[in-house]
Amino acid sequence: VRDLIVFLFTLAYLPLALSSPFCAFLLWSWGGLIAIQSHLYGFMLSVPLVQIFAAITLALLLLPSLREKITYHGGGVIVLMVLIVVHGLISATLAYPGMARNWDLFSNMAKTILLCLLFPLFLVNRDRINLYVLMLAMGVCFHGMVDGLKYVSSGGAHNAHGILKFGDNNHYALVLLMALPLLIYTYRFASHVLVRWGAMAVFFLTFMAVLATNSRGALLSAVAMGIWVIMMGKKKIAGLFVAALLGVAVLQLAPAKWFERMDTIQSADQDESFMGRVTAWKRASAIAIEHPVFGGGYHAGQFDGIFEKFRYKPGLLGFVDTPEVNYPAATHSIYFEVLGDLGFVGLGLFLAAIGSAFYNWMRIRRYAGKDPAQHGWALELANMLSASMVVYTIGGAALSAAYFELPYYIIMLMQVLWTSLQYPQAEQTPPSVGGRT
Amino acid sequence: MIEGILMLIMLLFNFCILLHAKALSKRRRVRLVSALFDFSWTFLPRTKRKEGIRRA
Repeated sequence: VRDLIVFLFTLAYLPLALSSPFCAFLLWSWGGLIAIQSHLYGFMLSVPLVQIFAAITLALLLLPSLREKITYHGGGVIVLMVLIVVHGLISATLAYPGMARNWDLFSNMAKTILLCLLFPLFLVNRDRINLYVLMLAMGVCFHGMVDGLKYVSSGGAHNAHGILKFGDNNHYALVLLMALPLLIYTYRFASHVLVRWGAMAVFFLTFMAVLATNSRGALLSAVAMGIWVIMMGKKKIAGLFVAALLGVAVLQLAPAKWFERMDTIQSADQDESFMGRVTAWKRASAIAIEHPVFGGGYHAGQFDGIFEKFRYKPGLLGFVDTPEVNYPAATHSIYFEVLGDLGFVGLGLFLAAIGSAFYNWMRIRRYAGKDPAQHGWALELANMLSASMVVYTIGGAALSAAYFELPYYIIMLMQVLWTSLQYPQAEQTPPSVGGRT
Repeated sequence: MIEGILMLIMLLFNFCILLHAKALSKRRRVRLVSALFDFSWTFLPRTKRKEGIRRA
């Protein structure tokens, strides 16, 4: 039945996508994040929805009637994105031979960057940026809603293992946490009561889904996000009150095993799982030292032959004693992952992309802060996007999540948000038709 | 069962977003849908907010 429902809705989406490149662009982004196939079991499994919407978007952009209307204010981030993909292409070409996932990962990365390059074309004003934020939040938090409901209804017994698209429980928790600030923004700025409270309900369920992952990194990231959001918000007392409510929900719902698991954060240096990660960081940095410009290729450290070559090399972390490992585990850190895969140059580009998000955030704060009545929405959205990046930079420090789409979308959102303030394009919204008064 | 219902709601909500997105480019409005996606709540001081002043 689910396949039939998705099929019927796809049929309904298609005319909208074909008649509006912006709709096609929204569906492309949404389809990539929601990975609806992970909830299907029938004939729709083999339908490449994302590719269809991507092809429609690109085909519509080639139409002469649309080409004439295009204005493109990309900014430095666009140059950075192009450099990332060009550098990635050279790295993949020069990679160690025989690595199974090398070209797969590069191809995914290239598709992500291609979509990012289209942001300045479509997200040109407040209305469009708001719709995009909603689409992103819905795409990611659908999974959070499902797992959150299961967690609440089972009284905390449900374990969320993640989905194939996002990875294991830790990666899944990271992506869910990154979407939470977008829901806070939706709650604060949507006028319709249904959307406002719907956003809060989804926020609560998604937070419960994060608990259901039993991820220790997610707990640390959630605390960091909470502190950041409260510090950036004007209503700090209200923020503390909401945080306290969530804390009570955790105390009531989380089972004893969750608290036992979180307790082990304090003894990370004796934890086998954590020290295994440090061993992988040593290998990644050793690969980078041998190939400083282009690295070893995508996920080189996980390839058996390369693992044996760098197994006992201390890299940049020779001062840390680590246990012997017998298998090529994942790098488990966005920074070391990029360092090993793409070298010091690749890491520099990656850090520059992350840094650009915070740089744009500061520019938006300075600019919008002068006229909060007019640009308050941009200020709030920039604060929430920066909270997502804080989650990524902290949570990602112990996860292999360097090539996820969501952080790149957020980096680009921050850029188009700044551009929309610098080059305001006429709002095309029709007069308000209801909502809160 | 829960997943199916949530999926239906989410797909319907998405359809509404797309309708509104399409209407934006035509400078039109879809009465019910556009009301849902009105993000025009103005960031104003509390006193003015209470008076219900909104962006035109």
